[in-house]
Formats: sequence, C-alpha cells, structure tokens
Amino acid sequence: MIWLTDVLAVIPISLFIWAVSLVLGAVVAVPTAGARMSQLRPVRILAAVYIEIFRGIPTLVWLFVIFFGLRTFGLSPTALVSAILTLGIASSAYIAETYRSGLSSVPIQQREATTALGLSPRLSLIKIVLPQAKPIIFAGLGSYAIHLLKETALTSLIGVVEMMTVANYLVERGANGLTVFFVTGVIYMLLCLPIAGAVRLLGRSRRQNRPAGPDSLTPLSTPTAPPECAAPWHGMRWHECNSSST
Amino acid sequence: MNVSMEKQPRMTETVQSAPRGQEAAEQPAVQVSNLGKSFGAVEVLRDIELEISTGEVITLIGPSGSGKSTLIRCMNLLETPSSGTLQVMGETLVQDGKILPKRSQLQEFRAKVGMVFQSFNLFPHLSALENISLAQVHTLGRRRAEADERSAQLLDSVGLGQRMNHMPAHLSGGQQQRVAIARALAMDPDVMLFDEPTSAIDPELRVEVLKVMRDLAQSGMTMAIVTHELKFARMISDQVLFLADGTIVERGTPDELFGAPQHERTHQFLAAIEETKL
Amino acid sequence: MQFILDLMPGLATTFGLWLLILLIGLPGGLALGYLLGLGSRTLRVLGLVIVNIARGFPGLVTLYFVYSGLPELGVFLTNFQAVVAAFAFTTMGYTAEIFHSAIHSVPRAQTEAATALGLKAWKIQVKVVLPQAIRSVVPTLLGFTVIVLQATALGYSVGVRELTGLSYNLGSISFQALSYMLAAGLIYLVLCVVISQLADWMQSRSAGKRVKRVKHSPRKSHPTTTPTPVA
Ligand SMILES: Nc1ncnc2c1ncn2[C@@H]1O[C@H](COP(=O)(O)OP(=O)(O)OP(=O)(O)O)[C@@H](O)[C@H]1O
Ligand SMILES: [Mg+2]
Repeated sequence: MIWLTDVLAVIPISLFIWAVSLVLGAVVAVPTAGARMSQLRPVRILAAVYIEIFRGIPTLVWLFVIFFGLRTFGLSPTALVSAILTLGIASSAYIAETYRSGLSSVPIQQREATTALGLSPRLSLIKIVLPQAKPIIFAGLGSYAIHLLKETALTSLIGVVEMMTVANYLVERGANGLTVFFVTGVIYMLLCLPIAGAVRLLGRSRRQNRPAGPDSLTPLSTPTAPPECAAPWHGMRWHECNSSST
Repeated sequence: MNVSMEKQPRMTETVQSAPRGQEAAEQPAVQVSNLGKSFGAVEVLRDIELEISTGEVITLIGPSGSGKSTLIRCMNLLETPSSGTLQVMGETLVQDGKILPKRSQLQEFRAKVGMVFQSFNLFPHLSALENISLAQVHTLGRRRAEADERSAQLLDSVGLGQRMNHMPAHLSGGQQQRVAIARALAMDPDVMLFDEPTSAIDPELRVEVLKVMRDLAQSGMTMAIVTHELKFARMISDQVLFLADGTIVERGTPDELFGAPQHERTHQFLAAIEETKL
Repeated sequence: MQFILDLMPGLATTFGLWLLILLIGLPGGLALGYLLGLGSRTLRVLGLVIVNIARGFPGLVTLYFVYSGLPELGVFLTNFQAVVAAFAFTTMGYTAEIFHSAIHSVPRAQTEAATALGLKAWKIQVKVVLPQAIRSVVPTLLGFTVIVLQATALGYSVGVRELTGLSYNLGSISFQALSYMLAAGLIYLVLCVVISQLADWMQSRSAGKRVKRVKHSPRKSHPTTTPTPVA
C-alpha cells in the first residue's frame, strides 16, 4: 500500500479546487439569485437562462468548453485555472437556486407582517427572512458542497493533477486497480464527513437550545419548515437526492 | 363566548391604546370612497364606500370569498386598490387607484395602522418580547431598552407578562395572537385592523383574544375587524357591514343589521350561520 | 448546424447508455429499496453499505473501479458495458432511497384494508402498495433521468464515443474543439430541458388530480398517498 501516500499527498489540491470554486460559486450566486427573484421580468428571465444553461449541460462538457474556449480567445489558462473557473461558475448556478429556494421557503406572511410594521424591505430581509432561511440554505449548501467535492474528480480529465490523476497513474504503473480506486473512493467519502458535520454546526439555529420556560406548553411545531423545493426534480443533481438515511 | 355581552361604556382599561396626539376633529380616521380592486381580470371589490370615525369600531362580515380580507388589506396598502381613494387620519394615500406617498413615507404610514393577521405571523426565530421590540427599534427608532420596557408593559396588559422570553412555537394559538396584537400596538397605531383574528385558534382559547380586543375597543381604539364571531361583533361594534360579492350589501348598527336585516342576501347569510350552530 | 449533425451517432450512443442504465438501475433500486425496509438486520446493513458507496463515490471513481478494477477479479467489461454497470449501480443507490421512502409513505391503513380482504402478503405489495408508491415517485424519477443523462458524459473518460466522447474526437481531428463541444452542450441542454418540463408537467397534473379527488369526495377525505418530498 505504498502507493497510498501518493494519493494522500494530492488531497490538498482537490481540497483547494473545491474550496476556491465553492467560495467563488457562493459569492457569484448572490447577485444571480437576486436577479432570479428580481421584479423586472427581463432580468429574471436572463438569470433563469443562465441557471438553466449551467444545470442542463454536464459539468464535464463545461470543463472542455471553458478550457478550449479560453484558448480560442488567445488565453492559455492552466488546467487548474480552467477547472476552478468552470466549477466556480457552475456552482454559482446551483447555489443561486439554493439561495432562492431557501428564501422562498419563508412564508410570504412573514414579509407581510414586516410590511405592516413599517420595516423596510432591507431590514425585513436581514432581520426576518434571512434568519429563517438560514438553516435551509445551509442544508442545501452543504449537500452541494459534498457534491462539488466529488465533482473535482472530473478535473483529472483536463489534466489537473489531483487524486484521480494520481490513482490512474498508479494503476497504469501496475498497482491493483481494484484496491486503488476503491480506496480513492473511500477517501472522497471520508473527506465529505467533516463537511457534513461543519454544515450541521453552521446551520444550527441560534435559539435551538434555548430552554423553554417552566410554564411553557409542549412545542406546537418546530419553527423551521422542512427544506422545500418548488420542483425538486427540476434540474436536480446527485446532491439533491438526499434523504434521511445518510 | 363568555365575553360579557352588554355594550359597556368606553373607559380606559387594561389595554391602553396610544395616547392620541391631536384629535383630528370631525375628520374620519379612515375614509374609503369608490374603491375597487381587481386581480387581473377578476374584480374582487367594487364601489366600496366606507368611513370609520376616530374611536369607532366597525366589523365586516360576509361569506367566504366576498372580499373582506382584500378590503381590510387595502386599508394598510398590503393590497393596492385598483381605483378609488383612501384617506387615513386625514392623509390621502390613494387617489384614483394611485399610491401618492413615496416608499419611505409609506413605511411610516404603515406603522400607524396596526394589522393583526389570521395566522398571527409572529417571527418564529424571535422571542415574544423581541417580536414586539423589533419594529419599535427599527421603524420608530426607539432605544432598545425603551422598546423592551414598552414591550414588557404591553405583554403584561395582554396577560402574557410571564411569557416574555418564550418562542412563538412554545405558545398556544391564543397566546400567539395576543403577542401579535401587542406587537401591533407597540407602534402606537391610530387604527387597528383585524383579519379574522380568532379563526385559527382553538374555540376554547378564542375568548382570551376577544377579551383583549374588547378592552382595546373600550380604551377608544379605532378598529376594523373581519370576523365570523357574530355574537362578538354584535357586542363590540358601532357599525356592522355586510359584504357579499365584492360590495357592501348592507350596513347599520349591530341591532339593525342582526335584528332586522333589510336585504334578502343578508338574511340568508345570517340564517345559514345560525343553522351551522345547531 | 453541421456540428450537431456530425454528433448524431454520439447522441444515439448516449441514448443507448441512458436507456440501459435506467432499465437496469431502476428495478435494482426498487429491489434495494425493499431491502432497506426489511426486518433482517444483516440485509439492511448490507443495503445501507451499498447505498452509501453508490452515493459517496464520485461517478468517475465508480466508473474506473468497474472498468480497470474489476478485471483483477476476472470480470472484463467493454467500455460501453462498464459505463452501464457503473451508473446502473449509482442509480440503484440513489433511487433505492426514493423507493424506500415512497413505500413507507403508503399509509399503513392500505395494507390493513387489503389484509382484511384476505389478500396474500405478496399480492398486497404488488397490487396495492407498489402501484401507489411508484405513482408518487414518477415525477421525481423522471427528473432523476436527467442526472443519468448527464452522467453518461463520463463515458468519454473510458473511450466510449457518446456525445461528449465523439465531440472531443471530432474536435481534435478538425481543430474545431470548441464548436463541437458547444454543439454537444446544446444537445444536452435541449434534452434536459425537455425532460424537466415533462416532469414538471406530470407533477402538476398529478397534483391537480389529487386536489380534485378530495374536493369531490363527499365523505371525509380517505387517506390518499402523500408523497414525502425526497429532497
Ligand atoms: N392575490 C390574489 N390573486 C387573485 N385572486 C385573489 C387574490 N386574493 C384574493 N383573491 C380573490 O378575491 C376574492 C376575495 O378574497 P378575500 O380573501 O378578500 O375573501 P374573504 O372575504 O376574506 O374570504 P374568507 O372569508 O375566505 O377569508 C376571492 O375570490 C379570492 O379568490
Ligand atoms: Mg379572508
């Protein structure tokens, strides 16, 4: 199992691609989601098209398109740059939808209540809507983050030296493919564990542990709605097929 | 309902409405004229004429879908009327179906009209006290401590002084609605609107909300209430309006409207309600 | 336009992969879903291990595992077969959960009613429970097929000349790499949008039906299947 160290050695590269694209995606997703929910119809449609284009075309194809495309424009990006750019932009489309479904899971009545109290839309968003959307957004962000980590394996196909590239190389050099690829798969799974944990921690609402007073009734309902997706199958990806047993 | 039935003389009670600055002499608190509202091609309200004097309590009754909610929501511009005019406390807010004030002014105005929703709409991530303090701080610009003090006082007056730090999920429907009333009162509103405030509450808990509303009415608050609690409406109102198919079919004092309805449609409605009680 | 026409053979291959993966993966997922709901502890643990590997491995890893790993065990698959096997396995893992929760969401009262009528246990499953469970997940599964479609693009990596593989090849021969890739992307996009719209339409249709049924029912609404959202 001497080869194992070689695979482990490039974990930081996979994690680097993952982290940078995730941050890039999460940031670009903010204006994208804003545009998607804009009052102006053309803006809304434009954002919807952007999102649909990135969700409707396989990431691998995007990797090639951007890799080849940048060259056509005379740039010679390294594989790593193309990889991060592709995964980052694609992420922004997915994450924008996560933001949107989180925000729209907050009942419209909550906004009405703030309007009736004379709160500005901005304050209403910050004080009322976002705190309620937070657990749902983090849950969606978390499963996307896990999905994205697995997607980084694709970057080996445009020549980024990450775990899959090394695993492949080792197998070509005569290592046992069965063990190498299985162990690589397990490494990916193990890497996902702390992400899932972190997300659970971040998404925990500030108040969940507040003790109810001695004279309180039994909770009538949990305050946070279950993650609700307008159309969960629409442009669904692997990461969106979660369910309880994992 | 066990809320006492006689119309009591108005007096300052447990619930205190805001001290009214200058009584707008002779001017109605709310004046609606020729108001209409359509959703797309569907006309939901038409030719609505309505006046609420300062300190007056009116109730809107009528069958489901008749436009009661839409009308009351037009009064604080949660819905924008399609036509007609709306004046609140002497200020013209809507003229010929156009909203006159700018957005920032609108926010100020809305704070002056309290709204209580059927589904309470408390903010689930904030405690009862924080629910009430939030808009005091951010809309009225009160200091935090000052707002919290007022909130505590209001919670006391609706009988929930012990539940300040409870989250909405840990309160019963009746308690949540009382918090919601306190939240609206914290803005020192000139008018309070109620849209079926007890419909979503277990029958045995409704009375606690009705009592709060009765006290509020007795303190001199101007109120418009949509309700299906006819006994309560009869007890509390100065004026009752019967709405059907988007128009006010009949109006009058409670005794007139409930005792001797003039229109066939009103008669039908009251008889149908009577029947469901059997 | 010429680019798109050139890619038609690849589209056929993609389509073949897609169909075979679903034909094998979906029934497999149903079987695995039942396994998850079984009383036997060992079988359930086994099912969970399979599900977690299928979901936890990146698609590319699973594919390489099948294509260059299994030969160590004497299992030699062509590249086409390897893609089918790998993603049928993944599909199994993902849909097992969908089927599992759908079967669970069929009200117990349905089984009880059927038992009271004297139906045999397996007949209850086949005639009463399964039809309701499957109907409730059809839109979700249809959406899932989009994911499978996109996954077939990985066939490129083991040399299958499906859409992506073929456009890569043609692109490198003709020095028109970008145009061929864009054409492939366009085809994927159209397919995905069409399937998604179909899923939306089916969902709204079945939702509409459900509402109507309740409305017209004179008695208190009898328990209908309420599909629990998978997401
Ligand atoms: N946002 C909307 N878009 C379209 N139609 C609406 C909208 N809101 C209300 N309506 C329609 O307007 C009519 C009046 O609705 P409204 O809610 O005011 O009735 P209501 O008298 O309050 O009934 P209920 O007693 O059931 O609350 C109904 O036919 C309703 O379907
Ligand atoms: Mg209503």
